[in-house]
Amino acid sequence: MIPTSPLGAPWEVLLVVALLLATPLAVLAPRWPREAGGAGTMRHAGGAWLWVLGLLVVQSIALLTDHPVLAFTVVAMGTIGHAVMAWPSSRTGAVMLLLASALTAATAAALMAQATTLALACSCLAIALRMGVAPLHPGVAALCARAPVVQIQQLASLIVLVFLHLRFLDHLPMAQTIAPWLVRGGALVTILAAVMSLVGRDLASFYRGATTMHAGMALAAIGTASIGNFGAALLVTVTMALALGGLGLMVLALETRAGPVTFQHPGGRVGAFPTLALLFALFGGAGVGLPGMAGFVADDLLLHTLWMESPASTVTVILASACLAVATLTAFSATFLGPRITSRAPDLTIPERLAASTLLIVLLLLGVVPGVLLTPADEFLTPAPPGMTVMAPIGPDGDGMSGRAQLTAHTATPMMPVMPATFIVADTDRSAGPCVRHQPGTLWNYTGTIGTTRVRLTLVFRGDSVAGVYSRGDDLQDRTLRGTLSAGHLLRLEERTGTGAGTGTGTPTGRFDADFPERDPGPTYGDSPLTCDVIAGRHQPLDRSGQPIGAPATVYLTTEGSTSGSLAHRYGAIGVRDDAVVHRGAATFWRAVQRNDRPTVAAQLRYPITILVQGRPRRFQTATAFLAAYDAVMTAAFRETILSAIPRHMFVRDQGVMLGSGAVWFGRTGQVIALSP
Amino acid sequence: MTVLSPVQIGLALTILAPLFGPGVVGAHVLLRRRAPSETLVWGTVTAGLLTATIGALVALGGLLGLFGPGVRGPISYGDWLRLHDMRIPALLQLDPLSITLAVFAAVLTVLVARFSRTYLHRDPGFTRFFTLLGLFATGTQLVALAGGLELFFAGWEIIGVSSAFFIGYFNERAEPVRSSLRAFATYRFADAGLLIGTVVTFELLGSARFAAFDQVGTLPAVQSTTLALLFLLSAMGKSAQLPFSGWLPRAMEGPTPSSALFYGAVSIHAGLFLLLRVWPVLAVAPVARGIAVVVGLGTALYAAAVVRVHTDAKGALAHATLAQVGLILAEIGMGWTTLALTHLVCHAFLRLGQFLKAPNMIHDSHRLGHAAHHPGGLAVRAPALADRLYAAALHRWRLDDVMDAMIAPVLAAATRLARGDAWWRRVTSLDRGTRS
Repeated sequence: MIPTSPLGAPWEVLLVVALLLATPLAVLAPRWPREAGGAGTMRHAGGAWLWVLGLLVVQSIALLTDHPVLAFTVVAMGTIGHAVMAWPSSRTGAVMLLLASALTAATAAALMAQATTLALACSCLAIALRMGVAPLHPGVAALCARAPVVQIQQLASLIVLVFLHLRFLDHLPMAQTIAPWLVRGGALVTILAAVMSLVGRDLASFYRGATTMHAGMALAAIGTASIGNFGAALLVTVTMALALGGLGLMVLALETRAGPVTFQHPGGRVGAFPTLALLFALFGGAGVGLPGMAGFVADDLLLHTLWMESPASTVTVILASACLAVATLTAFSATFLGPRITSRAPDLTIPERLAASTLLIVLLLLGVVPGVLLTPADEFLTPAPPGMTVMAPIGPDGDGMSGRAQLTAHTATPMMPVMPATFIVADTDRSAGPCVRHQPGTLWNYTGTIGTTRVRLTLVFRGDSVAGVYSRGDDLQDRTLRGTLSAGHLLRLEERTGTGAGTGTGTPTGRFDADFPERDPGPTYGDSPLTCDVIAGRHQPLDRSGQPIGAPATVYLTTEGSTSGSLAHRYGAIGVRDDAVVHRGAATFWRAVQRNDRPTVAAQLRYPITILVQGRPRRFQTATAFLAAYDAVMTAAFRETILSAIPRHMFVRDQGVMLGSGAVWFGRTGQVIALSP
Repeated sequence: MTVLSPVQIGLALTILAPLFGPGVVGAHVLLRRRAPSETLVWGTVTAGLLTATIGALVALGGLLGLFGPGVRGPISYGDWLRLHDMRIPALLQLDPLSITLAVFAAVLTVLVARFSRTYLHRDPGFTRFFTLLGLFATGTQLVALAGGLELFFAGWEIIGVSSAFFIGYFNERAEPVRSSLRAFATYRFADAGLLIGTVVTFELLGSARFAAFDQVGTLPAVQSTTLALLFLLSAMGKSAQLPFSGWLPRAMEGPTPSSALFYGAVSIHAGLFLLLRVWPVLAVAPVARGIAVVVGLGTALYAAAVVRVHTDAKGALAHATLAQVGLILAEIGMGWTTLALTHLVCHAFLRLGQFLKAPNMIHDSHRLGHAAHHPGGLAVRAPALADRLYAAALHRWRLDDVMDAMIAPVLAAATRLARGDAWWRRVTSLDRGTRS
């Protein structure tokens, strides 16, 4: 049984946020000097509590509303509140928060104006500012040093901003476009910050470095979220906030007792502050993926997804994490170990320990049973299944497709070209009239049935003369066609064996007597007026002498758009010299799917290949990896989709050759380059 | 509700029971002002360790078929985490290799705990020692019994962290603290190999379970060799093989019982265990195995030379251990895995006894006197070469200097970066004063 939670993701996030907001005040606020920043500037504890309550209300609205504009607007207001609190202690931090607030408000405005790309950019910038991603980190660095309480609290409300970003913006196609930049940029920031933290000379510089390093990791996580890693991205952010929040509390507690801590000499404070030392070590460990803590799970999930996007970034983040771990132990050693010193200041009080322990318990809980947050978060944040994202319509001449075909698509991964997954025949741009197509360089594709057999047919019109080729699903053999189109709708075609450009060579095997009807006799178009969209009629099999044999079969074919090329050579758009290469590869794959021949199916794929598996992209490096996930990819429904298509005379565009309305794409060698289950 | 079998309960207890002591002690430290008594600390930790030993013996019984048909292979506790198609199972592995390490590590840990109660009586770090011992036991059992690389890595990391804290046990002195940092840094950077290997395994084989290695033969040679080298890198770091041997003599700064357990018996062999566990990968990677042989034999030669000039008992023992570990690594590289496992277990027991007896050995040597030194062999035939070898061994072949020289440019670059960062924060600062 997988432990999960009855609460929804927003409520769980709200609980974490409330905890982080309240923890500093619950214990330390009344006694903090002004230098601690934030709550210390309040005249009494009541004011601090009111402030936290106000912040909590704002974050609740943002988390629980379904209206993105309202959500981002209230977060912007909350950020102004943080800025006001920070102002007396750090103007740099306050200005950074004001900038972040403005960017968050701009996100809301852009969403209202449906300028989603601008909204995404503003939101990313606001998050980067508030996380402290280098080189935008001076504001956060100033908060860490001068107003740690504000920093901890703004980390709490930052979780909400990230949640909103993941919920409302990270599903946009543009998010997938910028994902590689976020991942690589985040990885670069992690290694730079981690290496710098190795040479820090005081506790403040260590904390600053740790904050910047985590900011890089969180940025990379947000980048990977757009390719389906939503829950993990949220977990990375929550872990960052909890671990850095706890660490910040310990730094604050120590510095209010012992003053600024430098690493010039061994600190030796473990005797005076043993509990503080223990908690410092645990929060530090949580930040570098100590097993049993949330950071371990978050790092593990992040690394798996990072690898799909960029193996180099994965290695960079792993090395950065190692550097930060060493820096954490160095900071701990320099602060607490060495010849013992005595202090008149007390160790952490019981309420302080309770507050810190609560944060620690949440980190442990998320480390031991991460499903408590991850499962509801992932379900809540993961977008609708593929096929729902509507792309811009593709024009009749833009890529050779029919003007009536509107493309809906879902990208498998940002590293791959956008592959159409489903064609929906639109009702627009339809006018009744004769079928007039005098475009010798254009191939018109039709699919449908002859009797009960599925067929795929391609025609080329030259005035009244028509040539073509078609294949049946039961034997995948080509039959050439030659005939005439009269009166703008009557189609008479002779069928012969063999392949070719409709030259009429080979033995006669059948005859089409069909029509381009103005009204659809089948179920596809309803009552819409038609021109060349449907071929309906009869097919009469013939013997070698051209005499009818058997009963004629009903023909019903519908258009599937057009491609440029010729009957002899249609895949030139992707650099194919011999169409047979593609046809051989496609047929091998199709027959393997038909036989459920797993090794052959796996062998036909070009690796690495990224496939959307149950709504999430997974990158397969080898056939072995693909075979391990075979059942999840090649579901019965997906196999049915593939088998209902015919791997001959397929649609082609510059990205590949398409089978089954985008279910499978083949490259120029006939290997499968994309699968869209 | 699913009823767990005795074997499942035994395996779970083997891993979780050692956490009982640290849990109780940790809660006590956090919630009460008074330090816990030695009796409480020792009692709770030892109770956990004994329970773990019993659990391991029950699992052994399950493997041998004492509770019905013999149980062998992956033992599943269901999915620990499931995100769409991604499943991370809670999976343990029960086979002769895993149970060997589990039982012998559990027994040795209990013995060391009993020894340490007397050895560390009234020591200021008593509580810390036993808390870390409990954590270490859990880490070791995770390494021994994990059914996949992720759980294995969790145990591996726990061993590394507890090892670092044991080395820095006498933390009022600067040297143990520095030594613990050095050991931890070596561990963490070598661990990168295992972590990358885990991710790569998942990507290449579709799963990080050990069972997935059965498919490793289908990978191209470049991929399987890379994977094997990543695991070898991690094993070299954990088992102090060249060029990572520098941290081992420094690790002797820790208390003798921890030195015995970590660097005589269990931790030092963990790298070898990793290689035995991922043997299917090494089996199809002859290049990696060749490198393992060269590294192992090189380390054995290095350690054998250094041990002859070491003047402290624990340092000499550490290098003697290293020489044997090098030989075991070479055995694994040669494909003699059964011999390697036997060698590993026997060696671990021998060294544990020697380390624990080291303080007495010094006493004995004082009582019995030293044997007279008679030069011979190389010193007679090639005195110049012998002198050079002697000098090199005294400096431990300058391994530490080489490693420091490799790290120095990185630290110099980091310092320059930090200066640039300080400048950037200064020019963008709107605050008065120096603290920013």
